[in-house]
Amino acid sequence: MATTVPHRLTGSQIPTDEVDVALAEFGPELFGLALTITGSTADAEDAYQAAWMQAATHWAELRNPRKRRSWLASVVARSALRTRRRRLTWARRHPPISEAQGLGAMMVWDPSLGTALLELTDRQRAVVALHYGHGYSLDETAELLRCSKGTVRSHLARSLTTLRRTLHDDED
Amino acid sequence: MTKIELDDERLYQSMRRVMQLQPPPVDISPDRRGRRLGSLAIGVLTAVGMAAVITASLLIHNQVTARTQHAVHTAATPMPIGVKKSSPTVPSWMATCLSEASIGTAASTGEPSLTSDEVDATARRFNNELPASAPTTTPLYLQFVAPDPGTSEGDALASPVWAVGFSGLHRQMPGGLFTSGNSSSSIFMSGQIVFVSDPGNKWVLALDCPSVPGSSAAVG
Repeated sequence: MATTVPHRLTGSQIPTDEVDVALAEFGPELFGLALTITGSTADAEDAYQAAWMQAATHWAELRNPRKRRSWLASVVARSALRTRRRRLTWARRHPPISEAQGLGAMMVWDPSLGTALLELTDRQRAVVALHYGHGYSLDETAELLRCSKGTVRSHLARSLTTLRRTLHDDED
Repeated sequence: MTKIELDDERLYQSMRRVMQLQPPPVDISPDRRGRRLGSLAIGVLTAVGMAAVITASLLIHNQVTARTQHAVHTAATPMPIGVKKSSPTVPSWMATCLSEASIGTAASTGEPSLTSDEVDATARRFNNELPASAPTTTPLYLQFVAPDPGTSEGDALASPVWAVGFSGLHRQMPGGLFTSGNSSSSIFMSGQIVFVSDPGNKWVLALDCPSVPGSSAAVG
């Protein structure tokens, strides 16, 4: 059986028309995913840009175009987790001199929930964003984040516990 | 239970709104990819360069260690004399210094052009000038050190510009400002000819080379 070897696209090989269509269709929800995971607009923009760069150069690797949305969500989620990891490493070495607009400020409709979300770990926020924001089932979320289903369920349960506790404390 | 359902609904509504925020523009143009690839390439080259420097340092260190050990183990046998060069040409200031020390140099390149016998004779001549408190019984071996600014003594000694019978140095160089051999700038000391007794590896004599052409070399 013949198999297609995935290859990296360069220069004019990238189907910019297809990328533009995907950007228009999935851009907002993917940026929201990056924002939820990183908790900061600056990091979200970095992760979002890096994810699209990565996606564009690996565009041909996706054999089933109908899975484009979940494939992009996976790319963005992992990019955001990577960015967050780098940010934490950087923050340990360099004290911050300014704070970019955080999730709490961006969620003007529910700032207390935005602030409470920052109490979660990066992975927990990724699970919450993919499950509640994108509507993926927990099994699908596990597949997107490349972790076990049990881990995702555990992340979600702990996320809800932390959110309830934080919101309860704040609203008391 | 009610609280969980309430939180679920609140979470669902809020997260859906997050997913409708206006994203920033994305640039996947070749220019940007080129810059990214360029920075990646610089990173890779830097890593390779650092690895090469570390490897070279280890090789030099191992070579010096091996030669030193060899010298210790063959105390009764003089080391073979040979010329080792790590630079194709000798700076003019070094040629001046060599000339003042009566060390023959090639007219075209200024490089030391000593035969093994001449090296031995030169070393013995300086050996005779040593005070009685520092006698040596074996031929001295000499090397020319031209450290760059910021170079540690260890690094400078491990990379002589020119050396004869180099068998390793254990002694620290005397304090002083080591600068490069650029005769056009104000330089305190351009280099040294260091004589080492082998196999004892004692640094017994240094011939300082002033940077100003024509000034006298100090023997001390």
